[in-house]
Amino acid sequence: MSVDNSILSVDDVSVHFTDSSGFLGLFGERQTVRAVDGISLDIGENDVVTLIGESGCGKSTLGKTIIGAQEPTHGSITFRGQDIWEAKNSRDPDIPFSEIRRSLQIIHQDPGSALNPNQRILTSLMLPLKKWNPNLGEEERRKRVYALLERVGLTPAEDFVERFPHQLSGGEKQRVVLVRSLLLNPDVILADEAISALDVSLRVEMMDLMLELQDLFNTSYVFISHDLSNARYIAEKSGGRIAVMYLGRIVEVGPIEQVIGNPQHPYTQALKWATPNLYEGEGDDDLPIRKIDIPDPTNRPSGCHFHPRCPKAREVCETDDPGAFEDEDGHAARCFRADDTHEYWDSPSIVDD
Amino acid sequence: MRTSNQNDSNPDQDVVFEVRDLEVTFGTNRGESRVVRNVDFDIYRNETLGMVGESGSGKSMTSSALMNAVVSPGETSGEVTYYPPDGGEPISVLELDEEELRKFRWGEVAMVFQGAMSSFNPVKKVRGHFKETLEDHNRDVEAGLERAHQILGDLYLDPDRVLDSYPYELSGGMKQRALVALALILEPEVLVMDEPTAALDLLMQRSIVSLLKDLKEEYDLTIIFITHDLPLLTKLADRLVVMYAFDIVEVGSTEEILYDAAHPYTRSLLNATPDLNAPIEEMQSISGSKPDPVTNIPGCSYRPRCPMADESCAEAEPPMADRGNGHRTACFYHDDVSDEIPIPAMEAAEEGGEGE
Repeated sequence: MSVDNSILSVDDVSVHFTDSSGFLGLFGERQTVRAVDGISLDIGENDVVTLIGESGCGKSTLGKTIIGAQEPTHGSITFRGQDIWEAKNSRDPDIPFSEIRRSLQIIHQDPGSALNPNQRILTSLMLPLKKWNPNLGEEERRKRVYALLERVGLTPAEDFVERFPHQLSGGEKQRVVLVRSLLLNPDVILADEAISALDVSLRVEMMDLMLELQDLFNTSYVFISHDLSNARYIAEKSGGRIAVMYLGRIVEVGPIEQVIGNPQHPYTQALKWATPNLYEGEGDDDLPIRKIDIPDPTNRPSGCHFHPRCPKAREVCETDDPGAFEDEDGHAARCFRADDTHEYWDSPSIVDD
Repeated sequence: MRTSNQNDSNPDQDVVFEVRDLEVTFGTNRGESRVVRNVDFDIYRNETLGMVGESGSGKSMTSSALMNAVVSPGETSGEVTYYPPDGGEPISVLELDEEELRKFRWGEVAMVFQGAMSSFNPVKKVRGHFKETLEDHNRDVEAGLERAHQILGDLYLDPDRVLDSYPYELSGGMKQRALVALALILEPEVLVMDEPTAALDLLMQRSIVSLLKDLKEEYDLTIIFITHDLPLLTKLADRLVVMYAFDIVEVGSTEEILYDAAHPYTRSLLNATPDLNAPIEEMQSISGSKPDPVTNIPGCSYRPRCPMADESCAEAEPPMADRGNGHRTACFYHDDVSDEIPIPAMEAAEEGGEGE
C-alpha cells in the first residue's frame, strides 16, 4: 500500500539469514531463515505504523531494515527518493548516507543497556548533538538538552543531567533515550518494544508522550510491539496503521479501526482472542488455532504458511499461497477468505473437529 | 461466576492456606527492607486465586512464603498454615525442617517460576527430569511416566517427542508447558505459578491460560497465579488479590474487583490497563512513583499517589473494610471511591451491552 508523501519506501524487501557456520554446513543442507520475505510498505510524513506479531515473525528485522541498520538481501529501501544502500556504496549520492542515518533513529526495548552506565546523562545527550551539529556551541547544545528534558517531564533538568543511568527509574531512562533520539530531529523513529519493559501503570503515559512529541517534531514512528492493546492504543490515537506479521510476511495491514474491528485474517483473529479485555464477559476458552507452536522457520509450511494452525484451512491453502486482497480503504489481508469469489469457498476443509 | 464468601472464619469454605501477619524482610545497607508487610489472606480449595500488582509490590515474595521458599538472606515471619485434604493435621509451613519441607514442596504444593527456560538442567533430557523427580519422592516411576504422557498430551504437546528432547531443542512455550507437566507429576494439591507466561508471546500466554483451566478441573487443583497482566488474570481467576506497597489493598471475587473495585489504586490500575475496547481518550497512567521498601510511609501507603487522600489518611493506616461477599478493601473512603474515580471502560461496556 502506498502513502502520498512518503519519506521511506520499502519495496519488495527480503532479508534471509543462511547458516553457513559450523561443521553442519559441510553435511546436510544449509538452513535459510526468511526473516523478512518480500515486504512492501510506505511510511509518510508524520505517520505511525505499528508492527505486531509473535517472536520470530521478523518484525524487529523488518524494523532494522526500514531504518537502514540491516541490509536487505533483496529489494530496496528508499529515503526521500534516495536508495539507502546505494547512498552507502556510492561516491556521490543525492543524500549522503550519514544524513540518512541521522534521520532514522531507534529506541530499544531496554533503556538500561542503551545508556552508558559510566556516563552522566548530560554526556550521553551532548555527544550525539556534538557529532551531528558540530557548529553548535556548548551553551546552545546545553540549552537544547535542558529544554527537551523539561518537555518530557524530567524536571528540574539541571538535576537530571548530573545523574548516572542507575540513578533513574526505568520510565525515566526510557525518556532520556527518547530525548536522545529526538535531539537529532529525526524523520523516523523506530521504537522496538520501547514500552514493553515499563510497568503497566506507566505505559499509557509513555505512549502519550511519544505522540505529543510527534506533533512537535514532525516525526514518524515505526512502533514494534508484541502486545496488540498497546499497538492499538498508539495507532488509534495517532490515526495510524497496523501491520500484522507472520513468518516473515505482513499477513494483514490497514487502518487500525478496520484491522482490530474487522480482522480478515484468521491469525489476526487469533491475536485478538489472545488479547483479553477487562470488560467483555467470560470470553471464549476454545483455542482459535489448531496448533499452539509456531512452525520451524527454516522449513515453512507449503501454500499459506499459516494453514497448519489455521482453524479455517481448506485443501487449497495447503498448495496455494494467497496474495494480498486489498479493499478500497487500504485494508489488505493475505487470506483467500478476504476474496468472496475465490475457489477456496469450494475447496474441502482440512480441519477435523 | 461463583462468588465465594471470604470472611476469615467462613465455615462454608474449605481453606487450603491460611496466612496471618506475614512479613518478609531483607537487611540492606540502607536499612531494613520490608518487602511483605503484615499480610493476611486465605486460599480456598479448588479455587484459582490471582495475585496482581506492579513489579516490586511484594506478590512474588508472598507466594514464595507459601512454601517457605524466600531466598536467603530474606527473613520470613508470621504464620502460614496448610490444611491437607480430607481433614489431615494442619501443617505450619514456616516451622517445617528441611526434610519435611522437601516432601511438602512438589508433593503438596508445586511451583512454576517465571524463568522456566532455566529451570531445566541443560544436559539432561526432559524424561530424565521426570524420572528423577519420581525417584526422589519414592513414587512408582512407570505409573508416573504414564501420567506424564497424559498431562503433556493435555498441554498440546507430543509426549514422546518432548520427553526425548533436550531442553534446548524445545521452544520457550514448549518448555514452559513441559515444566507445568513436571510440576504436576507428583499430583500436588496446590500449584503456585509466578508470572509463568510473562516471557512468552501473547498467543502462547492465552493458550496456556485456557489449558490451565482444563487442567485444574481434571486434576482437582488449587491454583495461585501471580502476574502483572490483569486482563489475562481475569479470564482465569475466581478471586483476585490486589497488592500495593508490600501489602494487600483489596481482595474479592473477580467480578467484584472488576465492577465494584473500592480501592483508589485498584480503580486507577483498571484505568491504566490497555484494553482493546476502552475509549483511548480515557485511559491514563497512575501518576507518581511506587514506594521504596526501605521507607515507611505513615498512614495509608497509597496516599502520596491517591487523588482522594486527605489528612486522615496520613494519620492512620486504613484497616480492611468488609464490603460483603468476601470483598474487603483497605481504604477509609471505600464507599465514595466509585464516584470519585469512574472507570470509563466499564461504563462503555455496560452501555454497549455485553460485547464479544
